[in-house]
Amino acid sequence: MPCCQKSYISIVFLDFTTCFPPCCPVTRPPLPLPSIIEMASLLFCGPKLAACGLVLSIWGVIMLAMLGIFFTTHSAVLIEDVPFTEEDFKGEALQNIYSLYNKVGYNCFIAAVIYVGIGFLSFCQVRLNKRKEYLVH
Amino acid sequence: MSSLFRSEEMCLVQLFFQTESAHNCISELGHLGLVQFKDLNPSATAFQRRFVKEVKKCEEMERILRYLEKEMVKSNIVIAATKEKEMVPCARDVLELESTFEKLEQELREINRNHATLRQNLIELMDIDSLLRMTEDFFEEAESLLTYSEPPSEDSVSMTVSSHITSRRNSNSSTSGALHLSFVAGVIKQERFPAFEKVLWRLFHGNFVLRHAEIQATEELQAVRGAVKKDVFIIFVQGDHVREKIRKVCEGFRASLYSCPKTLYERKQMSNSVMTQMEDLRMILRRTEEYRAGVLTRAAEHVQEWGSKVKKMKAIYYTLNLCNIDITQKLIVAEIWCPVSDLAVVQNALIKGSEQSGSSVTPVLNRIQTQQTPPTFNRTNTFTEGFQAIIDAYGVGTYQEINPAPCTIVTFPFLFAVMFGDCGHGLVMTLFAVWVISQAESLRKWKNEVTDVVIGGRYIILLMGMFSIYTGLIYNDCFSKSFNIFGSSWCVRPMFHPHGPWQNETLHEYHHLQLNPSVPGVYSGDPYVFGIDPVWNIASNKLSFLNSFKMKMSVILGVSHMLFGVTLSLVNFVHFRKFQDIFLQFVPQLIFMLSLFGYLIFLILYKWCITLRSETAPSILLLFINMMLFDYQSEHVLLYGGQKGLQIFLVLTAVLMVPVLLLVKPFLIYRTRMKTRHQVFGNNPNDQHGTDTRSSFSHHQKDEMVSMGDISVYQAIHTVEFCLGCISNTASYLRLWALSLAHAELSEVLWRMVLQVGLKISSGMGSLMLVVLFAAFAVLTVTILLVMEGLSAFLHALRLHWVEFQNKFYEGSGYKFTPLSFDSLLKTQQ
Repeated sequence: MPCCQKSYISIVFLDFTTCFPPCCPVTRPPLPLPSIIEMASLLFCGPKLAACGLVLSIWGVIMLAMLGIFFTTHSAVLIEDVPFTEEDFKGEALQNIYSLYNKVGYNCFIAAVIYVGIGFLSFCQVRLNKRKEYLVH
Repeated sequence: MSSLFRSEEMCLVQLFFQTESAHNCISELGHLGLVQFKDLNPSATAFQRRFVKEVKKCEEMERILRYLEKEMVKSNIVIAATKEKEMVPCARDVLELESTFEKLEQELREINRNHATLRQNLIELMDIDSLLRMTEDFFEEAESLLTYSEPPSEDSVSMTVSSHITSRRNSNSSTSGALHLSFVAGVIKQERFPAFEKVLWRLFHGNFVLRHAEIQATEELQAVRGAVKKDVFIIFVQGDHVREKIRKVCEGFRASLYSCPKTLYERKQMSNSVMTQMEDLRMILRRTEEYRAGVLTRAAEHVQEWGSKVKKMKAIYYTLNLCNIDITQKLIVAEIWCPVSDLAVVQNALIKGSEQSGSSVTPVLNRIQTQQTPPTFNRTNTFTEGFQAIIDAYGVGTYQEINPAPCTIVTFPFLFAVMFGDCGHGLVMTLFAVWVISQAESLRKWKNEVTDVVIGGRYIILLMGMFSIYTGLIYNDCFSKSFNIFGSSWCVRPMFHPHGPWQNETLHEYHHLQLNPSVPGVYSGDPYVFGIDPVWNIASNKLSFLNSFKMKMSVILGVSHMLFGVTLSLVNFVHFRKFQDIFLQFVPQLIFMLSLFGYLIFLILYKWCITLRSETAPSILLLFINMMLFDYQSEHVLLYGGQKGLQIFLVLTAVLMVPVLLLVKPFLIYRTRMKTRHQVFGNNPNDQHGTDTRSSFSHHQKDEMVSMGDISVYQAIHTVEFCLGCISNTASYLRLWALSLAHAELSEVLWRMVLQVGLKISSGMGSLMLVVLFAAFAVLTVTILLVMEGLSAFLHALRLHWVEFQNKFYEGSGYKFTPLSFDSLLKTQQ
């Protein structure tokens, strides 16, 4: 039944074009909207996973940044987390230990920066999910 | 103020109102939500009540509404949430709504029936259509069989490779000549086809030609029929007899048979007519669906409103069933429980209701005295609701008994926090609670049991989190690490030469070295300002210090909590004017507890305050045991002078309290009864009067004699429970230590096994590992430490309240006040 199918497809296209331009409920100037096909490929996680990722990233940033600060100020409570060995105690013991502290501190800062990136990614996913949800309705 | 600490004073009120204004008055009371109707016909079953027909009608309407809602959900029509209009449903509305509902239901059912029939027809037509198309080549083949009447070869049996290739099974019958082949055509489910083929083969030994092909599943077909695969088949046979048999077999396999015309021209015509029929059917189906959607959309606008109206009416009829209608059928009598402070509000509501109905007679309120126990009503707001709920879960308080809920608002989160004590975890919990509080309305829509519980307890969780931050700061524990905010009081450097005994060699010889506070400079003399010194976090004997500290703290907290409970019983006695009980129960209990466990607390605090040498310091547990056993040998070290004398005195006092608790009260009751009996027997001026009183008194005596034994047994049980319970309950509070130890250890293990692995990698890869391991650390913290440990600490703190605290004063034998309230009715149904 070829005639029916054609009309079906035309209706489908009509729907897409009619619902496409309107209105995202944004309060600030909207980002340039990619077309629908691009948007579908950028979205790779559902709303809940994205929200979890966002919460985890915020926690990670705050906690790793604070850990980094505490390591670079050579806090004594964190002595067990510093990877010292027997050789570090020969020669300039204090400076060795301090440099190890600094290394671990910098690692923490780098991890915090990575979490900033992950947080930004999750935030974008959350926004894309919201937009997709709005479009379907 | 009194209502905060005990339940409200309630009164029993009789209401008289006219039958016409009944609906409006009850509806006003329902909106108010402050009165509980008493059942005046308790002996009547549900079917004997007066308004049972109306209740049935309301239930029928609810059923129709549910059916409508289901249909709407199936067709994806959004039910509009209407705002609550304060419309009073009256008796006329019932009839109106009833007729509307019945009409709607009938219409909808008819539409659905028609839709189903049309769809069935469409499926049949589609089958015929595919049958006609696919049998084209079969017929060509049949024609070729007719013209080439050669004996068929034996070797052409091939397996079906795919369902698009037709299978060939040649028959063995080698009759030649022009044969008259008749055929049977139809459609059968694909899964049944192999069995079908086998049966035919067995029955007819190959005297037939069978062709089949799968029907291509187009999208439309799938939408209409579903995912059932069907095959088209056609069987060419000789003779009508065989054909009838085959027909029967087909019926057995539930294949639908269709008559197929023999000539090509007729088939083409049939195909065309089928196509047009299908077009028509499709259009009719579409129209039906549109109509149905229209009907449902129109109904969807009102469905919420109707629903709440029907619920209210059902509640009103149910309430009317509880009331009495007097002989003249004009007056309704109801009895309600109502808080005394709200009587004026109730009266106003009734007046408003009667004005609305246009009746001239205002309803009459008549407060009556009664001996029955009123229900327990504790006024709560959104904050105190959760705490009242956890108290009521164990037992609703007796009428006007002291309500433990206000105290529980503070003590419950505090005991939880003692067991949970970690400021990092407490912070996460607080933030979670703040988020739930802000999103409470939108989270309620999820309608999951677990989320309902969490939303109900959101303020409890908030307080638990805040108190946990506080105890976390005291334990100096944040994700198992300590903060050094104020500077530790311990210093290691003075232990070395020249101040102290350690040399460089000492470090190489020993694995563990202990700081000696008597060496000057090691211990600064002032303890850490707030909480536990951070140096303990890196000490290897941290647990021996913390265990001793936490155990003593648990005992102190436990004994204080229980003393508070005993004090609350004093408040109860004063309120109920049982002054005798103060001296017979409260004072002995207090003395018993203070002389034994109060003294224990004194010992603990005293030992903490004085300076001792740790090698010779006496253990408090041993001191306590020796005190109870009167064991004073000379080599035992005592804490202070005069300890022996004081301890003997305290133990003797406590032991003396036991017979006071056990015997004095029953003895006094016995004495009062004896006195009354002597008084009655004493006056003997009038013999007749005497015999009357004597006979009536003998009945009385029989009841009393039974009660005397009861009283003694009850008192004995109470005494034993209290005295032995004191010890076991104090030990029970040690769970505060046990759980906080478990939490601290779990937290430390999680840090060491998960996060430290990432921190110890000092190269560049360390940061990537740290990212992954931190995610694992966070997930495990939330699931194990927050959820599991949180639930566990919640449960134990609750048990401590329910059992150890409340059995000192709480009776809990009341029944809850359940007012007629439309708000709660609609909320629970949603």
